[in-house]
Amino acid sequence: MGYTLPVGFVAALLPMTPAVTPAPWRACFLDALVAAAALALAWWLHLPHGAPAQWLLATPSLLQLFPLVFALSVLAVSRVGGHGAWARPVLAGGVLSLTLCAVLTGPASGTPVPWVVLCGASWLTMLLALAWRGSQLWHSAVHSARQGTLVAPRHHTPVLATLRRQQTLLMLLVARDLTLKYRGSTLGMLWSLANPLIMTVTYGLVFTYVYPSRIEGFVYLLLLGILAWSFVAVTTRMATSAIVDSGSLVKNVYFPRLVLPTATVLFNLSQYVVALVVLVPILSVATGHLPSWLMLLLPLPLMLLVMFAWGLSLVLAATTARLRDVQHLLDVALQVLFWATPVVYTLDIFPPGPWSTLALYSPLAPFITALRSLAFAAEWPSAQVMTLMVLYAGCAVAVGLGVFVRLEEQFAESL
Amino acid sequence: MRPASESPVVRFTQVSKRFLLRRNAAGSVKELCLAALHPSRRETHRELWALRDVTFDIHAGEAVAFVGRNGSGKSTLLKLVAGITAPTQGQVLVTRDARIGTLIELGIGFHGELSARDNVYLNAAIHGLSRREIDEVYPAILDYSGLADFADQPVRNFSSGMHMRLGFSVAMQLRPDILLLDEVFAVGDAAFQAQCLDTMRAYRHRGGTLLFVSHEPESVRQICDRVIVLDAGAVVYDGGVDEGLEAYARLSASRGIDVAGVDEHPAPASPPRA
Repeated sequence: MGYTLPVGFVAALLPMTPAVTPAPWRACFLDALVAAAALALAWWLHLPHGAPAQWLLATPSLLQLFPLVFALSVLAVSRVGGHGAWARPVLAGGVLSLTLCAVLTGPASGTPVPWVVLCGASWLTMLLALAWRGSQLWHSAVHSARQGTLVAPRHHTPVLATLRRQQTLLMLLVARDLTLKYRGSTLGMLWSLANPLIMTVTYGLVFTYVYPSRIEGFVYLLLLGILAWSFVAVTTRMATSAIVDSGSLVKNVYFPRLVLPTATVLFNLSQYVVALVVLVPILSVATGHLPSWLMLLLPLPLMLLVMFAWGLSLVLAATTARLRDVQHLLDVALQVLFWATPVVYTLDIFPPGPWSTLALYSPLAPFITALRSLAFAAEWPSAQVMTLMVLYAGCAVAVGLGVFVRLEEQFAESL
Repeated sequence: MRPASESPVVRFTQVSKRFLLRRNAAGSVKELCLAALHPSRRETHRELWALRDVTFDIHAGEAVAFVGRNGSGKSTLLKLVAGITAPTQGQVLVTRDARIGTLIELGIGFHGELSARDNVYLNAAIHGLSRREIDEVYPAILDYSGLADFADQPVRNFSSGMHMRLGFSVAMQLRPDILLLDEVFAVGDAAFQAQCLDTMRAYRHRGGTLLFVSHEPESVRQICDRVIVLDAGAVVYDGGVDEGLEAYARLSASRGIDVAGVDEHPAPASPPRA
């Protein structure tokens, strides 16, 4: 338990650094870095992912200590931060004190600190700061323009501002795709359930009768995997034609090209969400794995999965505009990836060793594992899984936007 | 017509645009890999300068006609203003947040399976309008196009004339600050052309800026107050309408190309080409 003290201090001090940096976006970036570092640290230290609530109850002295530490922390943070808004110091103080308490009382009670508690501070500050900054930007995007100055016709505006301004176009593109897909069918959106249902039933039968699975309620696990898998597979496949199919538009009108692949992702997300909302409760009841409050955290891995799919889609849409056979390469890659992803199996079928590590590092594995542990096993995903998810999603978005912005100018000429 | 104001809304500073005419262009990953192995399959290209060192300012409220023979860079120029392509050299500047209406081809982006209504909404959104703004202009668009009875029909059932009407209505009712028109009057019947010309005059009266590419001296005379003549990507004349059209006529004559309708004494009310 010797590591808890230094680790706790580092994790507690780091969220305060953004409070000292002036530029708001740099602060958010720092927050994200800190959160990722805290996660990586928890992984490296092999912290367990035990239930934080139980851990809190198992250390009674914590509850006595908490008010004092909380007051001190808020004071410290507001002194260091020195800015007017009360929410940030209180928040940072709260999580800081929690971490401090954890560190102070952890060794005494003999139960190791769950990683959720250790990383909670940095994660909460990061998410709240991001949401706060994001909403501010979202609202100011429309009014920020200065009239009368001359700029290049396609000057770069921040991505979030672009998407905000193109809200209507995005929604109409999604609506168009939905209308075209379900035109003339009476069942409408219900058709989007057909594909995952058929896959689940087929694989369910195989793993119940042909190769019986040891896991009870395996069909539910299967469904969670298949839904996530088909979301990514269908999105990426559709994204390859996002720019190419709108060739005449791209050649004759200017609008932010980013809208096209983004609309593809949103279109598929709508189908994914419908399938989740309808099928998960049914299977959860049918298999007896009733949802716990951890289900409320499902949006987190889902959001990261959407970011990952978005990043991939941007790369694929941009490269296909130039190299048309990217689509065929993707089809091959998806075939391989399906079996390299824990869709019809779970990660624990591998004995500890190089294979299990390799399987965990496969691009979609952390997302599906996290979804399954929250919905099926009703436990926190491990720090390792969380780190990989954040890493993959962050890298995909960074690379995707980088590639897309770089190639965007050539779309009109290479189509 | 309103006098042009002093502040420029479009500024070209020594703009050049190069296109690469590729031979053996690798259009796929497979070809890219083959090219890496075979020197003979490598890409070679010829340069084509569509615009050379073009400099001009366009002020708010001006109507500028770009004339020149085919391939002289007129359409490229419009695409640079719209932001569809980027200049190879030089700088293109446009007023920040000016709403640019592009009518480079009519009926672009119409999806045959969608109704006229859905298509109008989508097209207006592509031009940057929000849903509330579209709700406001939608009745006007429908009214102007005269297609109110067909609003819920899929566009695939429309004739090409109806397509054109719809496209032009959308572009005109979006109330652009800068309008880019490329040869759109060349198609359509006499009544449609007359309607277009009226709309253009009304647009100019409101103070809109117009960049107009045309081969037709008659419509240039009726709408524009400035002519820029392009030849092989370079500006050879920039000034008044009559002198500009003469310069273009001389240019065409010297290259042995007959330009219909350009003579010393044009009939003032010659009927538009049907």
